[in-house]
Amino acid sequence: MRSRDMNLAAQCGSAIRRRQRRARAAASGVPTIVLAALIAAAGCGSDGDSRPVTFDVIALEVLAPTCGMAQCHSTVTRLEGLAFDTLAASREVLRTEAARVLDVIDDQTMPPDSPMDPHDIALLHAWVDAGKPGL
Amino acid sequence: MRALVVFALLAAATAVAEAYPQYQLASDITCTGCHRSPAGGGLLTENGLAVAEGSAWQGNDPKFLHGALELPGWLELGGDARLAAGMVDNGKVSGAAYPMQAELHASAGARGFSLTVDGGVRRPNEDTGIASAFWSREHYVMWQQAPGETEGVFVRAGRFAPVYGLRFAEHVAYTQRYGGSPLYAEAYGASVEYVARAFEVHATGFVHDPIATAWEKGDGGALYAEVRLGEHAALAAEGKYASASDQQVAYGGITGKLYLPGPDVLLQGEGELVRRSITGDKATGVIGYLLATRKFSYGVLVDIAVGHYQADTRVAGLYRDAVDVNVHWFETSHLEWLLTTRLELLEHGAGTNGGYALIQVHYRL
Repeated sequence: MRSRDMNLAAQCGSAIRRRQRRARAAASGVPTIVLAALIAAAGCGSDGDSRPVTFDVIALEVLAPTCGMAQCHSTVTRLEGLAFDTLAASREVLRTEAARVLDVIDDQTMPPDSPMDPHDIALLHAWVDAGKPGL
Repeated sequence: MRALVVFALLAAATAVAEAYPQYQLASDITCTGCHRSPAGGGLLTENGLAVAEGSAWQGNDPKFLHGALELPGWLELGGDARLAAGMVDNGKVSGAAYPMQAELHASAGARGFSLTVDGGVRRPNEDTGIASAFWSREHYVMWQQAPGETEGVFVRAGRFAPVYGLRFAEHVAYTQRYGGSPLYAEAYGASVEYVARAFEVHATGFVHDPIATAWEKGDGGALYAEVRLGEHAALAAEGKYASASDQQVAYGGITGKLYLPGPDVLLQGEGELVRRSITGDKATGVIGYLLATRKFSYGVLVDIAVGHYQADTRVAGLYRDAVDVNVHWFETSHLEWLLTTRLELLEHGAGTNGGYALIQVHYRL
């Protein structure tokens, strides 16, 4: 395994464990067993993430579908002056605001309507730690 | 600050009144049974107005402004306003209250030709200012082979949503949000659509809006073909392709509908694959949504749905599931109350959980 992938896997596992601990604490009382039975769909596997740690992947596969919906941080509305629905818009934001973006995601302020997946959070951290390649 | 963002993010999350496909097969077999548009949504036909009256707890005059305004035969008017309030949980629980939709619809025409325009307000672009709040989501000209009928050929050109997949009023359904037909998915295009009781086909070619920013950034086409299997079942194939400057996205899927007369339940399901190509990477996603609907007395309609979304099949564990429960109460022909709830689980509950519970009020002018 290449060092970048090892780094990503380690961060991914760590972030996932942190999120899972928080989630389990928050979700006590939620009938997850019943729900899991209802929606038995895809299975769980390892925490491996083979996605390239590049700006294009971060922008179009992670941030655009999560944060860049038309009514949210898109070029349609530019909430808080931020947009993530195109490569150019994400580049503009992440050049100066990457740390702020990570902060609001890590403290679960964002996205407000739905939890962000820990794998995506870990990939974001890995990309920043790698020096934001492709930006 | 957080409340403001919640407001903004969800302000249009279910914000545009589209069709209620929950009625299909259970009462009217095609969208055109109730709607002017061959794809559903917007203005209602005479039959649609009658259904609105008949479905309500206390049906009153279903016409525009309760029939207070006598319109000439060539003109139809309508409108929708929605507000919502409730709680949202993304791992932290917060309250939210917000406007969702304020739109007027107009259609004028004769002899099979019509011009349909809607106009309303949305959240303005914070860079360009308040003027961007006023817009027209849809405007198109249409030719209908059999004016006043529910079947036949429809040809449209203008700004509208390419017809693709199940088109619920709730845009947060996974197959809509992630599957190529989210909120503000309208584009400029032309379509040829054929609607009949036995089958319907909708073919649309489109380009992204060159003037106003919109969700759709690509140019491409969409196809939806549905065949009815008897009176109570339908099966459809669907596909959409959009090529933008920074990515190409292909969607393909199958939709099924089955009405069970005994329990009076309508089942609707949609499964999709999404293939996204960007510089240096290609990713495949999987989306599924299954909805069961039953009408009850007193104007109550209940939906129970499960959704599954796997953003990238290469990443084990990168998926989420949702259980949605919506309780609609059509108090009058114009007034709908909706309790919409979602429980969302990441990795079958091993990850962070989320959800929402919102009360929505929808007034149809």
